[in-house]
Amino acid sequence: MTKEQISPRQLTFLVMSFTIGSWIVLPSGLEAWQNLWLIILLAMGMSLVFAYLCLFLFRRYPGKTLFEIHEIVYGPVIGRLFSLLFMWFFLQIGANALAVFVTLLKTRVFTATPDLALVIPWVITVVYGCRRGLEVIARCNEPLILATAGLILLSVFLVLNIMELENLYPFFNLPLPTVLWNTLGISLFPFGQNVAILMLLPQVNRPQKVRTAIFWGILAAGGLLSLLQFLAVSVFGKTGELFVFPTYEFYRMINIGQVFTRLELIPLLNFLTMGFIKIMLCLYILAVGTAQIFNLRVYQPLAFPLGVMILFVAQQLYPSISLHLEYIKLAQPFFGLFFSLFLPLLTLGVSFLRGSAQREMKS
Amino acid sequence: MFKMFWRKLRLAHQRKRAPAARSSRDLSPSLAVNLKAFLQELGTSPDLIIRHLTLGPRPGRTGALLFIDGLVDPQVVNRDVLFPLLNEANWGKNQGDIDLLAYVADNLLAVGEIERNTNFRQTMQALLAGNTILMVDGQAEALLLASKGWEKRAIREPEAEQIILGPHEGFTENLRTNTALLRRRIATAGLQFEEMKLGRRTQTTVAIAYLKGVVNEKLVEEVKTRLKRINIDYIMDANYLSEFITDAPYSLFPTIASTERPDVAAAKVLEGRVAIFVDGTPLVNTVPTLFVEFFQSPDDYNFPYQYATMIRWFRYLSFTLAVLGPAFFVALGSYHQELIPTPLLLTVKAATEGTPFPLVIEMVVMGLVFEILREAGVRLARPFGQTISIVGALVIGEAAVTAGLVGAPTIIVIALTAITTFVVPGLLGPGIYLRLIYTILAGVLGAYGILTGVLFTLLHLASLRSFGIPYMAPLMPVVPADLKDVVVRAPVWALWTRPRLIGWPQPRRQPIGYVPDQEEKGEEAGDDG
Repeated sequence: MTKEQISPRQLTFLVMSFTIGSWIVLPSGLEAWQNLWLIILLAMGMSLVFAYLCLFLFRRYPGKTLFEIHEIVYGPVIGRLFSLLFMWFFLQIGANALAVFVTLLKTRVFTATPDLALVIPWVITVVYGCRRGLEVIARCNEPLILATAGLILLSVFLVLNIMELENLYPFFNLPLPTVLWNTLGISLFPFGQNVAILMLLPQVNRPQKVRTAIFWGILAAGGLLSLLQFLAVSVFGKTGELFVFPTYEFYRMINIGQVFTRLELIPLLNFLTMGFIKIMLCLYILAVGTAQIFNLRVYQPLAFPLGVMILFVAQQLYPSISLHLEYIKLAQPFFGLFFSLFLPLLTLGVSFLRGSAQREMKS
Repeated sequence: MFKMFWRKLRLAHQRKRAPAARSSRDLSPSLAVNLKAFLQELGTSPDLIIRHLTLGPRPGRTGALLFIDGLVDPQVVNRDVLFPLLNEANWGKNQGDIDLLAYVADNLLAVGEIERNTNFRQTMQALLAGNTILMVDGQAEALLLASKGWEKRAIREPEAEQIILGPHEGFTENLRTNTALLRRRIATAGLQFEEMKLGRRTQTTVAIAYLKGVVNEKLVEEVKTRLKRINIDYIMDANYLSEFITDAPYSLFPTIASTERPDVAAAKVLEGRVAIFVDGTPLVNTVPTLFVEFFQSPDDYNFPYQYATMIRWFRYLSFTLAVLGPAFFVALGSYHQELIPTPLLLTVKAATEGTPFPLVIEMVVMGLVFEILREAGVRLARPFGQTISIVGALVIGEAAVTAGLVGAPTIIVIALTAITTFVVPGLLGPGIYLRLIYTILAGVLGAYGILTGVLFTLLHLASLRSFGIPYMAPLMPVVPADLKDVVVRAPVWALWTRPRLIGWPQPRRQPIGYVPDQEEKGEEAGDDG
């Protein structure tokens, strides 16, 4: 496979898009709604620790993807089994995001359009991007994430006349377990999903800067998400938790001199691009991962079948939004804990038990 | 079955082509044989002039002067070649047995460029390129005298690339004039030209120009290899080459830019690009080409930078409007009416009340009508121009609205698009295609359709390369230093560096950090020119 190279800055941007991804429209942890923006910051700090631990793996095996590390640590058979488990995780991330955005489109804009009509252009675009490779995705991501960041920063000025800081009070009137549980939940989803980035790290052209790049990416994404939640809460107050897509809905409230009203289409399009990038990246990782597991030379032919697979998994796993919300609330944290934290740490532990990494990499 | 047929066809084809290669034939010592060979190849073309003469001290040897009427400068042939040859006093005390051609070349002819050649094919090529051939009986050699001179168009301002301020010269159809125009702007030894002949039948001269020390040597090599790979029988224009050497042969977007302006070509060569001249056309290709170059104009640098920045943003805006305007109108009108402020929505709805077709169809059809009008306007003989404008403006615009066939807002959007399309002439073709595709997508899926289309286009653009350089370079990937000439047009004193991906062998243009109203503190520039 030809090695495509991305720069640390592009990696930062990819981490940002991947983290912001679907969470930007469908935030989890709504029971802590009024303090969500603070909990995001806490979760961001926690996820930095997780990321630090996971990056130990990369430092121990530089130039290897997660799947290659599995094979080195566990041997070819068990290693591949672990990799297949992770494939399911990545597939689920992609399907999850796709389901979120299709639901958003279906319920808010195209109420009468059949699902497939919305999904097919999506899959075509994503498969095309995936076939073009990581460099292209990373390049395309740069203006898109900058536009999204710019939009979120600009919204501060757009909502000035409708936000009320009283809406933010009271601070932290939550029981401690709720705070901790939601912090953990958010640090695993969306931040924890960044474990998928471990598949891309060997392609960064300056490996010594990987850690800084990822940290900046997580910090920037956390900051942006927190700011967005802050704005949503300050506009809606307590009522915000009634909405399924609060960050999208609060843009409807914008009203500047009766001229700029109902602007929600612009953030919708902007957040959709983040979804595109996230799913594209998932698909790329899936395709490259499959190619690595089965020792294929090229991954491009896998893009289309895997893209269709994401489509069907999305439709099977998340047939309705209420089921989806239940899943995010009850199952997602455990699922995320297993893949984002437990498995990488297990691999790290086993790797330490087996001794020197250099020796293993040679054999 | 088919395969066998094909193979037979190809074999027959090859057999027909086989007896053509005789390029290594030499001239014969006998003048009569040589002349016969020339006549055999050229036929009895009336523009081939053979002037028989007697050369040397008495009794002299028969010689012949060959040239093509119309390709040579008669002044040169008569005054500088024939006159000294026929003047007997010039032969001095020479006796019969000398190397006559050498003597003639060294002592008699007042011609700047003289070459001796023994090869028949090369001599023939030289003759067809406008040289005068001198042959003498008894010598298996010919003198090729540079006497090119034909009717040329004067240097004029190119019509397709008008500017307000700045130089008004344009390239012409004559290669030598064009290279001279470039050299006059870059008077440094680093400016180098390399020539080659392309086109099996036209033997068109193709020259590449680059600035040694600034250009990436590998780029020059790449341009040369790609040019040498071309095997075509004729070349009429620069576009023949660019379609052959492009990186993305199937892409809508041009990855090779061309210009008719010497100042543009010079600026690009000075940035480290390679210019490709083709004889017979005023268009000069410059590679590598970036997407943002199509949004730049020489006027940007001839006007104050604040104004130039604004103008450049108008261009970005116009292109976006030209590509996305109709699509967004369709999306807003048929899917997202809530985004339109209510008073405006009411006006639009009132105007489109009772029109028979959906907005998409109106937009696509009127867009096509406009494109056809434009094409007709270009191809038309001048006197018909008025007819077209009347038919276009009154019948198709006004009457269609009055008759209730299309809504007035549609016509307004199409008219706006029509104007904005011409702001970026280099991207006219892709613009029209994208507009059509986005409009249809908007009709099918609203803003979401446009988004998928735009993303698809962005992915495609991000994957393009022009001679190894990412096509969208300062934007995707972001090259912060180069944004100074894309997002804004920085003042000339602040354009410290060349584009990083292209001019990296000599990145500094001028002392970095120099600001006019401050004490000089910038470092010395590395480029000594």
